[in-house]
Amino acid sequence: MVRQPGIKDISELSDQLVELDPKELMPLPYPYDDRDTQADLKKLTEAQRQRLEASLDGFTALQLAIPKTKEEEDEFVRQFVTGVGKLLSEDDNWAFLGPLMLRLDYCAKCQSCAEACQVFVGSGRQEIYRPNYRSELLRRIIKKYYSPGGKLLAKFNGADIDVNYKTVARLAELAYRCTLCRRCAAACPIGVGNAMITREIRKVFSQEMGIAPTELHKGGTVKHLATGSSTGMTPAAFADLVEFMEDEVEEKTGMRFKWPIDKKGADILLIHNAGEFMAWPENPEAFAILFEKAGVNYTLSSELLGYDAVNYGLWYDDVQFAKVALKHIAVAKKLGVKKIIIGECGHAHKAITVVADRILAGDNQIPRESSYTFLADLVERGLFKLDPSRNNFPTTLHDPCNVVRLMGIVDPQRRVVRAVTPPGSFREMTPHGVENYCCGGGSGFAIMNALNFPDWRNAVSGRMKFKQILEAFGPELAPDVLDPSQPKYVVAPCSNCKGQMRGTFEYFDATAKTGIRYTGMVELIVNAMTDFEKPFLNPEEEF
Amino acid sequence: MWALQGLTYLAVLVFVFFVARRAARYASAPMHLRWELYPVAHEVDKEYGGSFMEEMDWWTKPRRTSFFNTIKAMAIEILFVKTLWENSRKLWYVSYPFHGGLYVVIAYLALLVLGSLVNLFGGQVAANADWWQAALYWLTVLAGVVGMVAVSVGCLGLLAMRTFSDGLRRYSTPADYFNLVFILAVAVTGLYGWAVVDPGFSQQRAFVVGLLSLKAVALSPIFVANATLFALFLTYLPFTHMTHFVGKFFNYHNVRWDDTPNASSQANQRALGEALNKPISWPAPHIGGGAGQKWVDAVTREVNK
Repeated sequence: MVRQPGIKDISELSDQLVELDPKELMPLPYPYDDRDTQADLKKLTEAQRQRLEASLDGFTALQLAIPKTKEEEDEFVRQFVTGVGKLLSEDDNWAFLGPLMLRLDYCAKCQSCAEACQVFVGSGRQEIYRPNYRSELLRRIIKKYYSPGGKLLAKFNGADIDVNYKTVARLAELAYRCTLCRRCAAACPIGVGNAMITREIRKVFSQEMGIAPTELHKGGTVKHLATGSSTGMTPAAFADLVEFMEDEVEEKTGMRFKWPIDKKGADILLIHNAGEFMAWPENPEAFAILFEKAGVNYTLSSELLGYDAVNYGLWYDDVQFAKVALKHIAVAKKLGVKKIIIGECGHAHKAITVVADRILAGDNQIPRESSYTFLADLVERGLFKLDPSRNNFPTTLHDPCNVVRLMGIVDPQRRVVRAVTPPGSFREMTPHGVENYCCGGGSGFAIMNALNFPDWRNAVSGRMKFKQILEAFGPELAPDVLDPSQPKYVVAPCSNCKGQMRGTFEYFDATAKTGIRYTGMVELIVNAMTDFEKPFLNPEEEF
Repeated sequence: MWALQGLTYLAVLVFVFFVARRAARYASAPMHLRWELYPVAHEVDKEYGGSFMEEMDWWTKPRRTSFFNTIKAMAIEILFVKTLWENSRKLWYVSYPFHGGLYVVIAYLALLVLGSLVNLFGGQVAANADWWQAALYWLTVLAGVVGMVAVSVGCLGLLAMRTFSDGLRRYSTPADYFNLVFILAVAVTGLYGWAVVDPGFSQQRAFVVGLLSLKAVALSPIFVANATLFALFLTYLPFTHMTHFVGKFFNYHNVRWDDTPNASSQANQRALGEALNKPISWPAPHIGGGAGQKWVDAVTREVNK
């Protein structure tokens, strides 16, 4: 590692604060244990560097254009400082003011959070990724501009920070080097969390300055509200896709049935992350098979937003978050369902069930339930004929942070996986459950694919999870299990986490080298059903 | 000694008022969105971190919560600083003597007040008094010495960690060192007075009697220094992050463990009505509705299309 910048170095006028060296990242176990053969990290071209802000670490999540004049730089700083002030307002930030004040006022800087953070540890303990680095910057900026005596006592309380263009631009990028997994909050003796501070910084950029990653905002929530899905899928395209999936289910299983769409009087609205229809249609297909077999009275929706459960606002913007959540509820209300079941999408679970809960008044309070819970009930009621030996390969389970640590849904998915796999084939990662590590693609990273950001995501933020996966299947547990000819599955019941695993596995060429694959949970259930001759999971098909 | 006694009254008043004001500020903050983190202490039979949302149709069932589980989790956390033990073991070895020492010092102060009341009502707290008064005497001495030694050791350890541990040093401000030195000075002057001048803390008990009975009391110079430093510290404390005993309570109860579903809370429903009628001034293009715009307009404009 070339250098470890201090907190005030964020303001220095150098071209780049930190240069990551792949050899200095956290070591990985076999077969990635040779430090000299680590995959490279893609660099921006010189033309891109001239145009785009990448002075933090050489990567860009926001693709911010570099200001051309000093006036533009000053205006950028002014807007940011104004926005920071609004975070402290009971009007502009009522939704998070209370918890934010506690997070600003009470950090003892004990650094217990640091070792809990997969980005910090995965990066080889790169100082700028320490959770407290980012939080402390915001605290010091607030002390400087918004605390009584802030300037007078600046040196004493650390508020003597230079807030220039570089400070603000680097902080903007730094807000997208944390996956909001909140593992650090669980490690804090005072209960302070850095993720909320990260999200509040993102809010200032989005709500005050209109700055957010394209994939989350313009190509995310804005597209979602306008076309019905962040994938751009229109209601007509959705209907076509359902027809395609009905055909595919028949081809795979011999079952032909019509999927219920916009069915009035259904008990349940099942809502998937629309990315599943495009990238992993076998997931909604497996849901359809299971719900059909179990005789569940449910429906899908073809209304705008009704067929896409995602809510990217959760990651960066309160207003966009509320708009999407209210629209989802409006769709359910129109159908008259008794509850909404969220498919295998972690952030959609937390968005609609937990975080949106207190913006839903009166008849907007339609119950929301996890598909994990619902599926565990179907499996345990014996509604499916299951032969676990059909899943005769090693499996491990990934815990999506949004569902597990942030909603407390820990056990149902384990009961399902154990019920559909042979004894001894399922192994837990270490740690797991509420202590799990994020996949590395949380808070939108898994869908942020522009320029060189995916390399950072796959090599740095996803590194700890990849290590956990290798260790779960690794030589210490079973000497021959990393044999690439032996398929093995990470069950990841979350679209975002699957997206991250797709990226990480490709980056490390993991399937070819180790035989590790990923799947959703419903696919594993259907694969264990004795109703079908052919296996539902086909290791060769996808990889 | 009226000046010192006056300073002490003022310090107690400042401490109580500003700590209460801090607590009131957090308690009266607008309703925030749910941001809980599992495990949540009041859950029943969910030691692994599970929640009521693991149950099918949870909203149709009575909620099971355990006050005992909450108290148990709080007690373990407060008494043993368990989270630090689990996540930062090296720091715990110096932080625990410090915090544990503070608890014992608080017990010592309570015993001093109790002994002063005994003296005021005609009793005598001394080594050669009745058994219970002698016990009170020895307990006070024990708590005072053990507490101040532990605090001093903890302070020195924390200062060493903040000086020599890279991660801590980088983020420590002059205020962080000053706070530790300040506390160390209070503890060391108290210990010095005990060791050299007054092995029974009788002067300090007499000082508290004076405070309680509004009478002037003379103190040795070392205890004047000790009481002055203590009063100044008490005055300074409410304005620092060292009031994290307040923050920790709200962080745990109002954020981390606050999982009350909106449907079951009429208070939250009312608070939502108020919140949505608040003005919003964020100007980004996707929000902008001009001056006077309310949250309800900003978030429903597109939904109602």
